[in-house]
Amino acid sequence: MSLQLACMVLIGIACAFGAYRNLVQATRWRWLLVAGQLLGAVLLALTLFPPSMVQAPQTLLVLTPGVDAKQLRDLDAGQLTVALPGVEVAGDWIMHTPDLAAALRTLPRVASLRVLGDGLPGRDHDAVGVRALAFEPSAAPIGFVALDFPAAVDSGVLWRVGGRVEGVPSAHVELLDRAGTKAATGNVDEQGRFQLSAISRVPGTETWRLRLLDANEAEVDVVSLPLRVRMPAALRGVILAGAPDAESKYLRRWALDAGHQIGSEIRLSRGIEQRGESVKLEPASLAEMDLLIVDERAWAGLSAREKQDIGEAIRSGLGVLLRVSAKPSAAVLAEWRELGVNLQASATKDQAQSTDTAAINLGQDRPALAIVDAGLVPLLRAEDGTLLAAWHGVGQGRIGIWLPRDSFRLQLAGQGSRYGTLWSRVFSTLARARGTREPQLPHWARVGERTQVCGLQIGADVIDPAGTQFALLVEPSDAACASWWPSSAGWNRVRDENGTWPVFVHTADEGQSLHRAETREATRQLIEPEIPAWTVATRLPRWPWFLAWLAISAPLWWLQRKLAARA
Amino acid sequence: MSHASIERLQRSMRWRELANALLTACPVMFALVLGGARAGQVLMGVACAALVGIIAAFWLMRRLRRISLVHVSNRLDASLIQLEDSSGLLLRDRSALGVLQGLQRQRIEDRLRQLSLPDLRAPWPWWRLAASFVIAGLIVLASGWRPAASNAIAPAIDTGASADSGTSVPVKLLGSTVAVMAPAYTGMPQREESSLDVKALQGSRLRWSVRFDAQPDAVRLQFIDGDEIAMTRNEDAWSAEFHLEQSALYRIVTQPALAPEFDRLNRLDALPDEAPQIHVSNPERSLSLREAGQDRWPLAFVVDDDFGVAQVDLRITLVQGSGEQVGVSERQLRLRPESGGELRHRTFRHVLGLSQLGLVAGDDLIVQVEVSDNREPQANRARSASFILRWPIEPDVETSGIDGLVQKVMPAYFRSQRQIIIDTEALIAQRAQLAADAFLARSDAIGVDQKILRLRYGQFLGEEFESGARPESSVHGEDEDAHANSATQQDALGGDHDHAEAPARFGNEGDVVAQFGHTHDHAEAATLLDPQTKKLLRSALSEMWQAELHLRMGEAEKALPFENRALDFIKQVQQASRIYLARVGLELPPVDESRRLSGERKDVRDRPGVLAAAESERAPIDRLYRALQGGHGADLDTFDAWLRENPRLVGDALGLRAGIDALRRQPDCLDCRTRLLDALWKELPLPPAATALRERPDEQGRHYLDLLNRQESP
Repeated sequence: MSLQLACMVLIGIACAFGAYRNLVQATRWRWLLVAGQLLGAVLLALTLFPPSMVQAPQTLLVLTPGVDAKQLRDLDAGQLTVALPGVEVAGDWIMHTPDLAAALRTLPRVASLRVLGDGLPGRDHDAVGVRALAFEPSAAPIGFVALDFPAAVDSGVLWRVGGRVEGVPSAHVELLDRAGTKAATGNVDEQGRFQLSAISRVPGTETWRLRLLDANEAEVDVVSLPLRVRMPAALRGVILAGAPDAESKYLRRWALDAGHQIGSEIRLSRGIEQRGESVKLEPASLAEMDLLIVDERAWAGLSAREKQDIGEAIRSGLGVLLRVSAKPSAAVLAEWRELGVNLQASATKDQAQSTDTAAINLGQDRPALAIVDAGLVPLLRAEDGTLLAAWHGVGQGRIGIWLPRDSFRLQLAGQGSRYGTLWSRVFSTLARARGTREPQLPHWARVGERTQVCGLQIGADVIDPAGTQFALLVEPSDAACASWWPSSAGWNRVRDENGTWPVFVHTADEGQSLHRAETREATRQLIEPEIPAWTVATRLPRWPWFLAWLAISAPLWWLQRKLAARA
Repeated sequence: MSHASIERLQRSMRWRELANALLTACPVMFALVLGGARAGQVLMGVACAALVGIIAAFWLMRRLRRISLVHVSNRLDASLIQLEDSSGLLLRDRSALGVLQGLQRQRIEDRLRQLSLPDLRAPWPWWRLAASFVIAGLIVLASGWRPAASNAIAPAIDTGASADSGTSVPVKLLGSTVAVMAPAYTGMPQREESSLDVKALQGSRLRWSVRFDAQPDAVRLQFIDGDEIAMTRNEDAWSAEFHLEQSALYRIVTQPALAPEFDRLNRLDALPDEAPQIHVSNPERSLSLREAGQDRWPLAFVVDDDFGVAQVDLRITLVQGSGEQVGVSERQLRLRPESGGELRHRTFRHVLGLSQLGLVAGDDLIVQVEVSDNREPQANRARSASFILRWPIEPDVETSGIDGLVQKVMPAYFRSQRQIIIDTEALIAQRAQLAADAFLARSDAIGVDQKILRLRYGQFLGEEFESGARPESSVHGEDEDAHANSATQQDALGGDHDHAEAPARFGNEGDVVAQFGHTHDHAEAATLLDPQTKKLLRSALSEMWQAELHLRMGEAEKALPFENRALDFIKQVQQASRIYLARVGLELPPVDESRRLSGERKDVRDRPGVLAAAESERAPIDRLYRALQGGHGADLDTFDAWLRENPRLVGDALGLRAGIDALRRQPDCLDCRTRLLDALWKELPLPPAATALRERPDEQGRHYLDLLNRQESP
């Protein structure tokens, strides 16, 4: 029973009781009294729960930062208009408001919003509610409007930055390293897209800069690309090969240089092997191992017991890469099928080895096999889209298949970084998951703008570049997030019990076009295609009902007292 | 009005007080200002002087206030008995006086008129004045003798540069000019640099002229390698001269020390005078065959040099005969440039008459252009490749049928090993007539020939070769770098395996190899020759190495046996006369026939894999970078020592050393640290791609994965 109904019932009972008593007293005025009581009860009910009235909905014009002169010129003085902070406009009919929610509270009848400028900033998104939104963006920003680059990379790998540029015809972009040297340059295509790559160096932090130049070599936009370079991990692995070949030679060389502990056993003849370190395939040593790379000939040479142990080890976390140097026997193929890796014969044309060292297309040299990609995750594709390597999970471990025989040619062509990046990805995808959990750090933090760090321990804090500490209030939930309003640009450090992580904070005026484009996109996302019919019902004020009730009740009371005295 | 005379007296007394005060205070104030200026603390001096002035002003005010009219009249009464202690009446209004008082006043007034007024002024304060002047003198003296003065006035600044200057006032640099006088032969005018960092042509004379705000006792230029040049004082300016032979870092050291903002390493860059460049446009190939009826051989080439081409010689060698009867005649021809070209860019054309030279069928005519520029004291020389005109004899008929398999790849310049021997023998024969320098120079020239030959053979073994021009990277085409690169290239002519010379600062070393399409440290990428030929060529190369070594050192006699042996090996290659291009890359070791098919496995063992992690020779750069980036203490001294040992491993060793020096002097300087990190970044070796570990799933995640697995397996 709702409060309203309860009150109504109470009033009704009281009214009925009063009417009964009045009717019982056989006075001349009894009908008048009863009628007055009824009227009073109705007025009391209306005082407590005043009726609401449907009113005409209003449209509010919201001026957001970035509104251009043309839009301002076309403003209609009669229109209900608010200006958000950052809009400089004069006009006595324009209401300046600190945020949208504040404006909407004072204007309850607003049912739809017309947004001019760059759109609503993040803090105003919730205020929109179910109101209809019309967005009329101002002239598009000039400069970078989208950027895609990794927040964290491993040292020595080739990382890419891609993005989109607007408003600059025949532009080109330059990637500058910390010393200001051009690491890469590229042209912006007709759709405004570009992609550059560079090699990360030392674990820690790197700040690259991306410059946009127009056709006259004049700088249009420049943004910092902060990169966290992770500490390298040392994996424990084993390479088993049925015969020496260039692939295993270069793989061992790279793995050793990259700091991994890789044992190897390469069979030269029956019973004759080239051993890197002593390799034992026992449950205990397999449990210690992160990655096992085995080719089809070595697999065929394993005992049934060893294969079973390896299967068990995969389920408890080991990563295995099956390398194919020639077409395996039917037995091996069947065993691999049981492990979830299904290969079938395919007609590959006899590939002529290209002598052009600059353009290395991987997978030109591979056995005449195709991966049946049922339930497999692609790892590497050839130029024409054929699957060259893939993996899938088995228990906690992963098992992968690798067809190309020519990845070493990258090394020969002097593309050592491309080679390393490729194999680094393979290793980190397949190897045993031993890494610790890292907090989710903001990708693009900006001075003075709210950002969020998640996955922190209680008691975390932030140290700004000058060394000042600020405590973070971590929300005690699963996500363990904390809000943060950065105050100084540069590399800040987020610290909790588990470690310290660098977070780059951009200056407020850096990447303006990017920021504007993001705001526009976010505002467009707010537009709901179907808004339910909106009725603005406002409650009538209580005081007239109350006065009316008083005006009725007072003479009734007086009359009753008088009648009672007379009686 | 006789009380006017009292006022007059008062005025004179007051003036005297004022004069006293001024005379006492002014010398001290003046001395303070002067002393402050001399000690470099002008503001402090002015402030002290102002303090003294204020004190003096207060004192003066008090004195002046005391000298009231009553005071003057009292003094007057005391000094003139005739006034009967009544001069005070003169100060009072006549109408307010009683009758007796009026009479007395009249009397005093009359008397005063007759009397001469006494001198009531305060006597000159001789002692005080003397004391004031003495104090002023002391202040001025003290400011000249700085250590004492700084104790009193300036806060001590510890520059940490030298122990004795720990407490002295640092000297500031007001201005400096460096006059750069390029060597006379360049014809470049003298120029003035306002910066202390100077880039100048090698061999330039530099003259510094430096001014300081206060005159130091001694100034010297201290070079980072320990050399010092004392500067001499010439009125305000200190000057020194220096002959720039190689790039260096120096600092200005003064006594007392310079202020820290001026105490930094400055850089002298010696830009080398480049050797002339020869571009031969005709003939286009190094070996051309005489066409039927051809009697003239036109040559055309362009010589570029940065400061002018001095002389151009054409060396014409005629090789006649064949087999054992080879005769060689050689002549030199000085060429004159075509008119109209400028000194730095000369065009030459010359036509050789073949019949004039006596060329007949079977002969070779070899020409080579030798150019020297006008560098002093020693001219840069450059020599073009040899261009050969061959009058072919009737070719022998090749065995037919295997044309597709056989390629004649023996290049023409293989013959010049013989030429080198002939040159060497001729040189030895002429030894008696030649000066030691000339002998060495010619021997060296033959050594260069030998080197070129060796490099060309080396190509066949997949070794490095150094051809003329590298394609210039369009992105990386800054002039300075190109300049530096070609300079090191020049140096590398004397060195051996200088592949890593001047790493391109493109940020990606791998790309450079990819760009030039040439690796030679992978056996898989080598040119394919059969092992026998490879072995022969390799032996020939090692002999050539030795021959070149001795030729370069001017020991032609010692070189001769090596040259002959090299020729022997080349002859053997030539007798094989053809190189079969192998169709298979894999060459299996010869089969041991005695054990073949015997099933004998004795002595066949496991081979231990011998792999060791690569250690970059530039690892110290990486270590220092990490230490600096981490913000903890970096071992700058060790790195500096390493840098001094291995300046060639980095592109800009001097810049790095300057950065290290700056950081060492100001360990808290964040800017210096960033600059050093930037400089180190450019030199960082490319690390092998590292791998990150996947995040370990939590308890729930692992359970989920296990359940997935169990669902799949039944």
